[in-house]
Amino acid sequence: MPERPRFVAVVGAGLAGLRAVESLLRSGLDCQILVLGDEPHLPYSRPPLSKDLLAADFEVTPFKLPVSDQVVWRTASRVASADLGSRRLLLDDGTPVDYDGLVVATGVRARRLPLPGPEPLTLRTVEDALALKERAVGARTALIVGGGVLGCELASMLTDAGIAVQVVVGPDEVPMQAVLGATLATELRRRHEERGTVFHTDCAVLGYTDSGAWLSDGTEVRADLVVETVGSVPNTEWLAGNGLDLAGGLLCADDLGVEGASRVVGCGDVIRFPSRRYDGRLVRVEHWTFASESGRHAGRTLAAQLGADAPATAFDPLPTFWTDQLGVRLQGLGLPGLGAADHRVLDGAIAEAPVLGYHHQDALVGVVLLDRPEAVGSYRALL
Amino acid sequence: MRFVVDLRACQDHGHCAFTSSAFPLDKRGKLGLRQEGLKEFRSEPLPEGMRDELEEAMFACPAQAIELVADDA
Repeated sequence: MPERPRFVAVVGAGLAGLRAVESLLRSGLDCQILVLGDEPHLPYSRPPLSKDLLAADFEVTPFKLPVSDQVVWRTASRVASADLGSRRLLLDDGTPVDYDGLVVATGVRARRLPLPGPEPLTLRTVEDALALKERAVGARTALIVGGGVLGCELASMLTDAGIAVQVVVGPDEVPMQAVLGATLATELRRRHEERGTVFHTDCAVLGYTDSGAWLSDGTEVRADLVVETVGSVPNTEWLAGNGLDLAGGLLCADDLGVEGASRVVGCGDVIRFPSRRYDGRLVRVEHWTFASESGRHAGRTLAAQLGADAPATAFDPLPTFWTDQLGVRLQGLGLPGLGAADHRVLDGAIAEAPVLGYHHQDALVGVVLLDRPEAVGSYRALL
Repeated sequence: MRFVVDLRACQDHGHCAFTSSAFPLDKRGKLGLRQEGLKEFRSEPLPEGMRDELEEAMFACPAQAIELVADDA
């Protein structure tokens, strides 16, 4: 008598979840897959939300979905809790979902500052983006709270639209310093300032008002729109009570199997895993390429655990990221942030199109290239 | 099997080039399959043995500009 098809639940309908689905289908595993996404949309591409939102021809870009009668996509379905021992999920409408294998791909949500006053905009979902676009139309001034890569991309986009932008950087002296190190971050700050962006450093936001925010240095910033971009929080609450390590992201093994659970894998922004490339250091990576690659790998690992004819292997990607701002593309390889304190210009002039190397314990751990796409291949080879 | 690149959608991220030699980059680091006035590049029929690397390239493209199609498509 043939064995029944395996039933796989994929919690999270973003890029990582989608790639896990594609990988499970490709594995040849006899399975049925239910994808549960809490957003009211099928998977869509997030990068354009912070890069192209204000373009006249902007539209949300859905991902191409696999054509398969093995997969059911259920949007606007939030998983409230999971009992990994009995392999059962509980949706927030009370519906139970039993599974043989589980993919955790719930991603992250925008972190919010617990401050008084009206809640500012943020940028994570389609709804966030459309709300921001609506407010940006006709706006003359904007305040961005958070000087990370997303905040600076947003500053660039708003400035391009003729909006005067101020950015509260936070504890760092210059925006993006934690990721890019002081040298390149200072250069990018200079370029942003040339375009009129004002940075507030060494201060915090005390509270929001209907027309802006109060800063800890006594400044009142008035702005037509206020956006918080202060990092993210992994969506792991629904996994609580199962004895998992959820501190700073769901802990996975190097094959992306979830530590402390069987037939459960994790992928995308929500996970931490020990990177062989970086001496087993636990890393959590919030980049497009990581979501795609980890989703593919997690699908393969789960397929192997459920009996597909494929061995589970270690996941050992080279992290890569990009950001488009100031009219140029910045491309990152490896973990520049890990070597932010020990960086040097490897090629080019810092004020033009430099390549920077980042070192940790004398080893090259990251490279960032500013408007140097022709050199990416050779530096990838070094890492 | 062939691959098709929508050259209007391609944003020259170059990720495809690092997964498959079927996607060359030019000396500026841009996709080397572009030609003046060409909106879409269609490869010659390729051996089935290249499917895995072409799929990896397709999945690696942030712009979803790559598609695998049948020889006669």
